[in-house]
Amino acid sequence: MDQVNRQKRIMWWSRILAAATLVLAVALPPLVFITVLLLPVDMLAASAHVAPPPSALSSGTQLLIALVASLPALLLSWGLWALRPALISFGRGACFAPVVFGALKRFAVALFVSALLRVAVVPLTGVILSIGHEQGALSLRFGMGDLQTMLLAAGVWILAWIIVEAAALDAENKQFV
Amino acid sequence: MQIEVHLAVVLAQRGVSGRALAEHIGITQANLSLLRQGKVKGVRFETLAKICDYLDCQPGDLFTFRRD
Repeated sequence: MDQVNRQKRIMWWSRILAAATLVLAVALPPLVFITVLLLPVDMLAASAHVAPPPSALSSGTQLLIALVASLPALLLSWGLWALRPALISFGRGACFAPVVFGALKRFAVALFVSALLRVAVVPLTGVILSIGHEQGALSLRFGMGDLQTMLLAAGVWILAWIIVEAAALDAENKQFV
Repeated sequence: MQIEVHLAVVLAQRGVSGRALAEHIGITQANLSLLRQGKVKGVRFETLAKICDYLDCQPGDLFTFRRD
């Protein structure tokens, strides 16, 4: 594939990804919030790896759980929003624009922290489910999915550094005729 | 130490305009102007070959090395 076709492919897919990230960034937090809000209490307890509470949850408690569960999605949504300037820049054919480094870095931070938050949300949900009951429960889990997300975030961060190096090379290359 | 560019001289000797050369080698007139003034970091072999071909000269006619 020659350079022109490669650049066209990058621009095409970047535009599609920019649109997809926009949709995801806007839709993800409310979707997670509504899903958790409508989840039956026994399923909520199962997802928090604790026993279901003996009595029904108050609407305030359910709302609090939905808010807590939405935090990772909210952060990821911010990360996707922050990534968009890079994708828009790729879509215009400017792969080494100054905006790219910052956008990738913010996305990596959002990915990493949202994975950490996901780990914290499970025990937090368990604690909230236990509020007002005699017996409390706490469960902390760290899965391969969380680890993979953190590794991906680290990879994106390194990619951001590589983009800075590439931008310097590109700037130098432009001084050759 | 620096490389001196004699492209302007060779162009004048051949009676070729910068515009015609820029068009032939496929670079902008702005870049050719920078090359004439020696204000570029380097010249690609591809560009150099096209210049030499068009002006019927050798690379040594275009550049000299001067020790400060």
